[in-house]
Amino acid sequence: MSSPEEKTLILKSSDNEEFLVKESVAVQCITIKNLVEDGCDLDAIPLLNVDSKNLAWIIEFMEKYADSTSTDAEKKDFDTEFVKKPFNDVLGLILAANYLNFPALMDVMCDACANEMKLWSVEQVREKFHIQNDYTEEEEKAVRAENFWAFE
Amino acid sequence: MAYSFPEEVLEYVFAFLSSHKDRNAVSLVCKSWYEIERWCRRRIFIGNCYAVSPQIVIRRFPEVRAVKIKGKPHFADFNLVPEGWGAYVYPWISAMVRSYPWLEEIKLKRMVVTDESLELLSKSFKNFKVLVLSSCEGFTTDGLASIAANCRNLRELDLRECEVEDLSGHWLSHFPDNFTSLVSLNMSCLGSEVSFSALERLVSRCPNLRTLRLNRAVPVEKLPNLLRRAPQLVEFGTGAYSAENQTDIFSNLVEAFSGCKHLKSLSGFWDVDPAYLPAMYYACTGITSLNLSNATVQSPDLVELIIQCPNLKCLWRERELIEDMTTQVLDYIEDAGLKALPSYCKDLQELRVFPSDPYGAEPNVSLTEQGLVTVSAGCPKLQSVLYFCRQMSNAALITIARNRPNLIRFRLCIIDPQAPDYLTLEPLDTGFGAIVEHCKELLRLSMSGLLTDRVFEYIGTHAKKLEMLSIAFAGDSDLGLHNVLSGCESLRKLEIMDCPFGDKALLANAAKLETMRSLWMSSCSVSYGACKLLGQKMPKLNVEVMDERGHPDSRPETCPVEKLYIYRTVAGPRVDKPNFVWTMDEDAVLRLS
Repeated sequence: MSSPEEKTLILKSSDNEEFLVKESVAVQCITIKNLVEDGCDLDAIPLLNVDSKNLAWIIEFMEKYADSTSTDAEKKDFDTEFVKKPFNDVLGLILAANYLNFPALMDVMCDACANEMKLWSVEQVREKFHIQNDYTEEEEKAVRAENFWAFE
Repeated sequence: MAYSFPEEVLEYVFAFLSSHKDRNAVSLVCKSWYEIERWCRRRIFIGNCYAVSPQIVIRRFPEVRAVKIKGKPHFADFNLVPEGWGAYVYPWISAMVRSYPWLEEIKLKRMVVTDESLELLSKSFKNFKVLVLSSCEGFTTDGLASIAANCRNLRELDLRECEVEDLSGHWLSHFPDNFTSLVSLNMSCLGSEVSFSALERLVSRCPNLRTLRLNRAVPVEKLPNLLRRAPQLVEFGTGAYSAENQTDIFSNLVEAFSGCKHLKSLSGFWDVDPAYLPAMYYACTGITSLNLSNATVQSPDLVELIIQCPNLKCLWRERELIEDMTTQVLDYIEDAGLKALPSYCKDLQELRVFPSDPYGAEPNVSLTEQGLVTVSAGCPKLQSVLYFCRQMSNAALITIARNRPNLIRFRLCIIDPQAPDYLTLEPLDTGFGAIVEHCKELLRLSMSGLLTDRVFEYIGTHAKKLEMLSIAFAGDSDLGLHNVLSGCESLRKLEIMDCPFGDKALLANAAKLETMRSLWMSSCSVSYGACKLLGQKMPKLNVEVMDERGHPDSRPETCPVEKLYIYRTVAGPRVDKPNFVWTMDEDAVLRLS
């Protein structure tokens, strides 16, 4: 049961959806913490780089992690399920966590991202990250040789 | 939707990729990823010190904190690489001193390390923490004194099977009185006695010490004092484990060992007096690794150690006992000892049995292939085997293969070269064939005994994941080598001695050599002419001919070379070759013709 003094914040996503979150939970995002500490007196905190889809997930994560009754094992199980999202969503959450400066979420999402990458070929990584290969054939061959011959 | 990932976010993701393979893959995605990755790579692994130069490494990775470098080929362990061959660490250290002031960790294997190198490193890297030297040589205890005196943040000093010139035990006393950061000390390969009071004081003031492996010169009566000061130890190696009959030593040992509730690994045990073994039983609770390779203990005592300690039984019920037990024993364990293992060490993963008397004419112990067969049947997690024995049969090998398809390392050393199946007198081709056929994840294989070209057919056909193969006195013709080179897709290291392999297979499979780390061939039939041709054909390989009989030009081109070491490199020919090594490159061919 929250005390009457427990402050609730309104977080507004980039697509203008508003979410109510307890201040003590929301300040896990250092960006929000700084705003609050700087005495931000806006009705709602606009999060220009976070859409409602991502914000909803982030709040779900924040609330789990702020819950003092959840054990480490429970958090781990939660993380395992939480990261089971399409890869584009994983990337989206990483960017959002970076923008909001939310270390716990960054750790979980980047770890998940890395785990996916470990299973892919170089070509697959390029595809999933939408990256254009700017190596010439010669250059790529040289890097491959140096990597494999010297550093593996 | 294309994401523009900020650099720091990518770095954050890359931080979760620690394997060299994954970091290398990242660098290939695109040029900006290459740049980001190279600035944040902190750990590098160099499998062959001559495959790359310090300059290339430093230019690419400017912010390295930990390096691991391997030098001489594996057959150096069998004295096949002459003195002065190379693998000097000094050029690496002097280059890194200039470019990596914050280097924390150096791990070296089969390299020549001088006192000068050790002194330089100790004075240059202010945050130096970890030094692991495996099978290295070239330094004395004076070098160790520099490390002790100057590395104020040292955590690990681990000397594994190094050849150290032991000038005195005084080096240990160079650790300053305010030095407290030690976590791991392995001095087991040193000969001389260290100041015992200095050792005691060192152990007392390092609260995080978890590994302590003493050398033989530390007598058993000194152990209780040490153990009492370090009850938090996880890995412990005794010195000589016997003493003149003094009853209080035993009770002191019991008391001291029972205080060590966290021990997972035991080693040492030179000159074991079996009467003192039971003193350890109270500490054996969580033991997962037992290295008894120095212990000349007869089988019944070993079996007692393993199974009859009351505490061991108790914890066996609780299933904590001897998980992942790595057992290294001399063949004194005998078949009877090995037969007991499966009952008590169901989780055994790695077994190494060394010969106690390899040059004796008659078997001094009754260790046959049966011991290994029994262990393979009863230990479902067994994946790594190194086994010296005097006799083997195809039937036993086939049984082992069928029992343990999960083997990933299998090294069998039958002491008599070219010993056939002792039951049928046939070659051991089908036995080893069964190993590669059933053990589909096999990464490393070392064969011995009588073997024909047939075994190489099996290997080429089945050993698709094999990365390292060691062969001696095997095969009949080039077809053998050809099958290996053309069939083993994952092969990285191939080492061959005394096999009738010559020019044909090597030249036909030249391109394969660029996909492997290295190839060693000694006492085979590869001609000087073929080596020159190979060097000319494959400029990215260093084709090194080693011959202590003098320059190969003084002999006909068709004459086989003594030793051949071929490896791929991005650094060009070696510049530090001794006078018995020649690189076959275009220049050499032009100069010599």
